[in-house]
Amino acid sequence: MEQTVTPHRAHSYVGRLWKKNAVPFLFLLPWFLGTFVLTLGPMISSLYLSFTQYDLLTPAKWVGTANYENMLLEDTRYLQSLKVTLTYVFVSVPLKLGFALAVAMLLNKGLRALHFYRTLYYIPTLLGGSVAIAVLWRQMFGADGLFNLFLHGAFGIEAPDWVSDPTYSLYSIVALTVWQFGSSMVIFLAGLKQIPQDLYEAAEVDGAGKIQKFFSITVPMLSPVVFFNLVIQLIGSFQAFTQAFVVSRGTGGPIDSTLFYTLYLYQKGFSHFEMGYASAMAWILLLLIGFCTAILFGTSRYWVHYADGGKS
Amino acid sequence: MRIGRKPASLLLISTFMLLAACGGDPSTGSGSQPAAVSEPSSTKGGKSEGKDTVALRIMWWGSQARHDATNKVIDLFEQKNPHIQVSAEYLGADGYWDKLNTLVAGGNAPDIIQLGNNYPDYVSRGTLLELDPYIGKPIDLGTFDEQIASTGKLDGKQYGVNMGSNALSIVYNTELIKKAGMEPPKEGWTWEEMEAYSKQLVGKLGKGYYAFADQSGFTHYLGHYVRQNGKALYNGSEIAFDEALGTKWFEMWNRFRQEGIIPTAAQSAAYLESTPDNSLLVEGKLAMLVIWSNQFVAFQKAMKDELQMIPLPAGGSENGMWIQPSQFMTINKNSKHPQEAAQLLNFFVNDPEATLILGSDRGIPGSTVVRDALKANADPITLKTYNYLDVAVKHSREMDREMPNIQEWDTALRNSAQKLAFGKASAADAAAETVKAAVAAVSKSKSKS
Repeated sequence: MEQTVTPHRAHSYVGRLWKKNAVPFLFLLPWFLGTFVLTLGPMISSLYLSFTQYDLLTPAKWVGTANYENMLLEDTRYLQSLKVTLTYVFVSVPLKLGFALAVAMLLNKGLRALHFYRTLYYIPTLLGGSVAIAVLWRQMFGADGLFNLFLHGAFGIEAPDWVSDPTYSLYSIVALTVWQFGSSMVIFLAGLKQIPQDLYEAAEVDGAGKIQKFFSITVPMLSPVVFFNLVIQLIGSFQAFTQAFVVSRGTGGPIDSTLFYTLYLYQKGFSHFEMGYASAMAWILLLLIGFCTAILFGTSRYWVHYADGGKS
Repeated sequence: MRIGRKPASLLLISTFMLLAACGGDPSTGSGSQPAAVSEPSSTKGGKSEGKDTVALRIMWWGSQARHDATNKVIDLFEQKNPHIQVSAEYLGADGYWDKLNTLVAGGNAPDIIQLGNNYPDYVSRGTLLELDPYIGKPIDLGTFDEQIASTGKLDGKQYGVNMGSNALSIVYNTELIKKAGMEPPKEGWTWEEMEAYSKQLVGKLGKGYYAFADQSGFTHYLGHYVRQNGKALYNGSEIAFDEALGTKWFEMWNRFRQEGIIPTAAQSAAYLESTPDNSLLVEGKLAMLVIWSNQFVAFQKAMKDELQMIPLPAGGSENGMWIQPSQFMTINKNSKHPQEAAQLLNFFVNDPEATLILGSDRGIPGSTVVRDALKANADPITLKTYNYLDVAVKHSREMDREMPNIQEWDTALRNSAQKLAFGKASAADAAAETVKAAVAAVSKSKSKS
């Protein structure tokens, strides 16, 4: 009996779908397993915890939406962390992508040692997330750091302590981030190489200048790649943690000027034992990132041009 | 590289999942669990001698020196008690509470837990075992000063065994003061005398040098000042200081800053002075600093110039200082082997060999017998901390209970102090903020129980 069932199934809709997509599904399998086994459970419990008061040691106590109300209406440090993170995202992401694109275009000029330079510019990205670099950053941009020694030696400027002055501390971390433009650059470079050279040649015949070529050919042809980089970097920036944690020694200081959202979340959860509150913060962050990403996707059809007219 | 529509929507979904992965569990965001070393101590198997083998777990925080000494003592304990195996988990202070709380929450806490003056937080959460049935035998506190033994008591019940005592102190750099051609500061000097002395000192040392660190945001230094005025940060049930006193404290520090006897706001933010590797004192730019007496050895070893210790400045109507337990060893309420755990606790504080190995890294031991033995064997630097504690006692009165949720209040006080330093808040604003934060930290602990 079984033998007759099996061939019948193979012709069902699911069967056909499986036959057609087996390989991609197999490739996705580890990721699906990870999500359903390791991520979904904690996510659901964090959603529950976000409506409780939970100090890790005694059982969670249901408090309704108190965490959310407290966060948005009363907690000034929360609002500060939101301000710091939004500033960081809106300053660092455009700067980083700008740098990445500029360097990618330089490298795309047919350099002889392209591999070498591409690797060279990628190195900071490999190192960047590490604690060692963040420690080094303190040394570089401290009051008597290399950067200020240079400013003093070359221009006679008495510069402030970039890391410990609340006016500049956030921007010293922005600089640390922008410096790690490598992965975006590599993607831009790949995108640039995809642009058919005949478009440029045709434009030249028509008498287009360098700037016109950039805006009329490079930018539209590259827009899907810009879009991709923008989404990835935006999400990454909202979750920035290591740099702020190490540069400020976990305090988010001075005066909360580098109190990133995730850093405050960590403090709340693990130093102040307010895991319920931390969970609520995580969910607001999720919604915030979701909202920003949705806006990007929503507006993308006005500025992202697909070579195939979007019909894939 | 081309990204079609369909992959793009997949990207949207996957990015959501990605960020969700981070949203659910903040600990994965850090990716840098503090170097937690977990190492089962050598297991000398094979010699179970009829008895069933008992496995104990112990956890503490500290420096490498403390890890080495404690592990040595554990090995010794296992040699003397072959049927007990002890596995140790130890790490730096930074990640300790995160890890401990996670273990407690998971019902997987070790049998023996090192805690600080925050141990009442754990009593109120039902984590700790009442030790009274084990006092006398196996835990012998007979040679302890009564006052010191009772620091581990809460509402008449013993929960912790005091591992050592320490006190706040001003350490000063003798070389820097010699360089200025001045007499060293004296025991019992007042705030006013310290200020006048410092002005003179900075005048003689010149630009780039400071008399003492900006420690206006140091909880326990403020505690000292508040106690001198007959009040307390926390009196055991509520906040017992007010904005007026806080304003006076911050105004005083503002004046110090204007007089140039403490470092600038940015320098103070860069040098937290909590450890020798982040200290202007160690760099030779600062003449005086307030530290805990058991940190003295570490600071002295980090620099060449000789350090000396004196008590905190006098003033007000009462003694502000106090002698406090640096740490306690406690037993987990859910321990399956409380008897053996108590045995190990006793070993830590009474065994002649073990106490000699542990030394005074956890503060000066509570047992008078142990203390005399250690003092007789102490090196000159350690001896200074012993002698200092004898001096400090004369300027002390009974300590107050530590404020619940003190880490939260620490952060708030430091922020207010920094706002003041950078000119972003007045002394009155800073004081109002700190009092408000203290009240919030305490009320939170009440709503829990």
